[in-house]
Amino acid sequence: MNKKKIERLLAVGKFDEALQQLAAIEQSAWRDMRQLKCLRQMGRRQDALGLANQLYSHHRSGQFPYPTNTSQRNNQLRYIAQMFAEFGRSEHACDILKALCEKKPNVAALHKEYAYALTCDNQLDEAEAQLNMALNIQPDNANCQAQLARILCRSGRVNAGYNSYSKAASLEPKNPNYIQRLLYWSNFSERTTQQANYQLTRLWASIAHPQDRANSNRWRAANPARRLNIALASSNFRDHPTSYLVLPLLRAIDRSKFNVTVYSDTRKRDAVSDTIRELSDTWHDTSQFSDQKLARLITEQQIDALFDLHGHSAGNRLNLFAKHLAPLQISWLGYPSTTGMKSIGYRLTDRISDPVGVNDEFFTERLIRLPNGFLCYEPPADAPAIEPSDNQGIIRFGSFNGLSKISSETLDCWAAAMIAVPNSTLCLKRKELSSENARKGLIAELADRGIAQDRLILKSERQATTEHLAEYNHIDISFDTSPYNGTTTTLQSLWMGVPVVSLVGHTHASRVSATILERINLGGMATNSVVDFAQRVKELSELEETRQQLRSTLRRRLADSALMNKSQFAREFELAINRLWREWCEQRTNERQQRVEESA
Amino acid sequence: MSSPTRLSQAVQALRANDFETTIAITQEIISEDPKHPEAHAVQFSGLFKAKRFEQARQIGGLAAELNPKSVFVLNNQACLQLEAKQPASASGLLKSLIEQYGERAPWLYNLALAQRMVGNYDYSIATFRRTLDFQPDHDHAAFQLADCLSVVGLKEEAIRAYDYLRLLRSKHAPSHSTFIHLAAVNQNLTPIGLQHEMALWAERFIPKGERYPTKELNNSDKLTFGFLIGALPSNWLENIVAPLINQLSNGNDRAIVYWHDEKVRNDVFDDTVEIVYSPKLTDADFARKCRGDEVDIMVDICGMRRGSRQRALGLQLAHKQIGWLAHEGLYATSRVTPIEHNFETPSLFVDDRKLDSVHALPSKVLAGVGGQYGLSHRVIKTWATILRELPDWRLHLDSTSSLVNRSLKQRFQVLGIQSDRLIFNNKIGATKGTIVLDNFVENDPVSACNAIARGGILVARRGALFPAQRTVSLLAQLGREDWLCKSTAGYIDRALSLADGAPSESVTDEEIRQSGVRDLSIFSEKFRAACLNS
Repeated sequence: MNKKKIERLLAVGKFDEALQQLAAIEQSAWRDMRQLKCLRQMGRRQDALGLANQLYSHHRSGQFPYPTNTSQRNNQLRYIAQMFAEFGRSEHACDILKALCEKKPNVAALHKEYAYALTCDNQLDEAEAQLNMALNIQPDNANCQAQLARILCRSGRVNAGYNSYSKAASLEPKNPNYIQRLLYWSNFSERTTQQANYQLTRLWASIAHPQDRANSNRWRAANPARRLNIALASSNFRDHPTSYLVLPLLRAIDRSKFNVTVYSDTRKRDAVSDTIRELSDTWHDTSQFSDQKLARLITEQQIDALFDLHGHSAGNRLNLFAKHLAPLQISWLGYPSTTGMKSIGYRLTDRISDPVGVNDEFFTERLIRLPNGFLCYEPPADAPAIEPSDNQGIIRFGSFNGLSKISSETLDCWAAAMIAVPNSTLCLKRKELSSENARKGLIAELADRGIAQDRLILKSERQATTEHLAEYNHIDISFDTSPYNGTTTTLQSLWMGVPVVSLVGHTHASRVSATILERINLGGMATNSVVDFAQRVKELSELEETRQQLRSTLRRRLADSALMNKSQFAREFELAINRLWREWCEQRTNERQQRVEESA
Repeated sequence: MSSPTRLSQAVQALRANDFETTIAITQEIISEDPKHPEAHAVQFSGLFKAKRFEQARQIGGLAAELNPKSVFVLNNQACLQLEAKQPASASGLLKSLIEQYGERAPWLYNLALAQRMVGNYDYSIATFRRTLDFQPDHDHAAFQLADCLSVVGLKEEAIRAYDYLRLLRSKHAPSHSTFIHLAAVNQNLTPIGLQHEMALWAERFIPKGERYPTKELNNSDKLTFGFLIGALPSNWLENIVAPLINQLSNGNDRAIVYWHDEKVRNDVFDDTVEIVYSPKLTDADFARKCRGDEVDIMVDICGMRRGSRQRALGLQLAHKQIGWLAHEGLYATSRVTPIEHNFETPSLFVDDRKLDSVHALPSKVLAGVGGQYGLSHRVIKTWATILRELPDWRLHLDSTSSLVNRSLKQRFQVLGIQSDRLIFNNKIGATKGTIVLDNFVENDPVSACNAIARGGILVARRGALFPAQRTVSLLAQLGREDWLCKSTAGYIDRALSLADGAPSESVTDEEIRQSGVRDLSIFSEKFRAACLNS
């Protein structure tokens, strides 16, 4: 069996066969590398790590069972490091790549790989430095630009990150992936207008799916009265905000009318994944499925309504939706703007998040407004009790939203509020705050707005959900972010008795908190300007009794509201889907009649 | 022969590309029946396809009137009218097409162009956007949209639009350089971000390996200066650049201006200055021209603005290459050194010979300077915050474009400042004691200097990039570093405390004289020395 044949097997994905052939040939650096690649591609993580460890021990001891040259050793080390980084041994990966970079400081690819390992090891600042070094050597490396962009965006420097993604996209303008990242992150910046986001999204669609069409699925039997097959697709069916917004539907949907299938791309399953699995009529672990394989499954299962819960966020399967596998394809949760795909015909929203006639033209989907909101929330079962406030005269503001949501506009609001309430502190808690660059950036931005560092409490520890929610017992008022509001963060804050003050904008993303607050009769907390935001915060800060009352009643208020009325939500959901289905059936019937008349 | 028969013959001739026959036959029909719709339509088609465009345009109006449903006639007549700079007529035809047949990208684009030509920027911006909705990769529409947004002063939107354009024109250097310039002057880039942009621009667009050899300067007493001028603000050209060039050319040196903007401003240069209008030259031809002119020191006063020649500069046009005043702080090529690094002390010059006399601003009016081409959102936000704290004060803005003024009024209004609190009047300006708010994102040293010279007290702060550091140099030169604020909050506080009566001394005439900021001969000597030492 010659090497070329093995390479061909690898190229077409026949890893099992390739492994068998490799086992039969003499051990060599070439063989070891191919075996490692096979195991990695097959997802045989333990076996891959075992082999990688074995090979690494050769390097450490300097004794190889076969002749090698420097280039082969270095290539092998690089691949081993990549595997270690991917499979949770990032510290070893960093050691390997650090040494390689020191030996060859002018190789951009090494710095890039080192940066990847550092990112996996949560050493974001060092990763950023390595990427800057790589770009000094090779400025036109699109992948480097994108990696740097990711770090910048996640550590709260979205405008700088957007610029890096823009460079990556301009280097590979026909690669839709970079444009997709660009349009995703454009939602986080106050510099993005709705129209600009729409335009960018349509550009992405024209490159990624030039054949994308509306209403191209016409072959399903049009029976308006039958039980519908609906399916939800996501990689976030675990302890994740998406799950807490999907669970109420799964618990309350009428199974006599709907069969619910879940396609889970979730790699790290947990107790929440198991709960969702139990609540599904049919569950598929599709995390290892290619798009083609999943498409075949969806087609076989004759899904009537397929829900996208990702939009352009990471882990999406929009390529699948382009195949128009279900007559009804609907966007819900997960992403605040249009997917840009005509094959996704609908989007669930409500009148507050998307007022009628305001932004409809910036969605390729038809907006279906559920009467009592598009969100229904189920708090974690182990949410801690609310403790009485013990602020000792200091008003404690807080935000546990992602750093990427903290825009310039957000900081304007927060600073204005803190200036209006001089005896206040601000607590931010996010794992990315372990990055010194992120911390310095935030401190500098707030200092520029007149807020001294000693008023800031920056926490970066990762906690389990219960401990995380317990932190709200040390917050008096939550600050929302803009133009990308918190959703689960807002709900969690309210569940823990802490009121949320928000700045409302013109986009869906900037109105989600408003829809939440309105449903618990706290619409007054959704303000229209920086001045109003500061004023509202000041008023609330001065009304100790009101705050105490809210702390003791918000949980009940939320529980009694439409936001947690899963039966009502499920009924409205069912009505909406049924109506869309009947429309679809009617269109098919009309088309058939027309064809009959024409042929007559 | 009956008309229908002749008409069908004309149509057949048209299909066979025998345009002369088509035209002849239809002319016969028209002479008998001047309002024969089909004959007009066919004749128009014949003339158009024969590329006799002016004749086609002449009859196109009537052809369109007689054939209101003909897509060919309406569309092509509209194009011809646009070419002939008849936008109103073109607009009418295109609107008719769209009303009858629905929106299509080419019609929308042409309609937007026509509306731009008549100055209807709101309509044209909306229509260019609509064009892109239909055809997201329409790069001409993307360019026009970005340009319109820039003209009306919507800076942040213009930057995003140019960013979008460079996705569509990834290999077009000017699309990238315009983006970099706008992003840098509006502080939309961090210092590292700007470095990366420049490095990437160099990697993509500056040829590697090709360099002209440098030679030693023959005679440092008599130098040949080349000045590469792009899209420069007119007040910088008149008050800083042209006086220096004239001074050098009237001395021992030779000065050649390579003009890279649209309309040459011969009026600001003396006869001793040679002017070369060079936008149409390729970079290679331009490089050959400069080498042929034996330029000793090339001074780039363009940076990444429109007209940028950084690719040519990367080929090494002259023995020494300097960047001055208009750049972003860095060059894509390492072969150009910003001269500001070589001045021993901060050195700025602003001529006062063309300083217009103005009436003094009334009391309780802040003077906002540096907003001629619009203001960034950060500046508007900050100035609005100050105005909200001073409810009985107003703000004078030095923008003179009606389009920019309109957008400024709208943007201030969104932040709660009504337009009656804004003053747009270039006949009035700062006087002794006026609180002058510097555009701290994109400094205008001319406006700032003149306001200070008239007795204004400047409120300023330093930015991260060079376009926001020119005022720093100016204040250092005038001995007024204490006017620099450390933060935006500090800037606001200072403005408010000055409004509250906090003492601050204006810069005196003597201090201005001693600073050298008005002394052209001293500045030109320093400039020359710095060029030689670079």
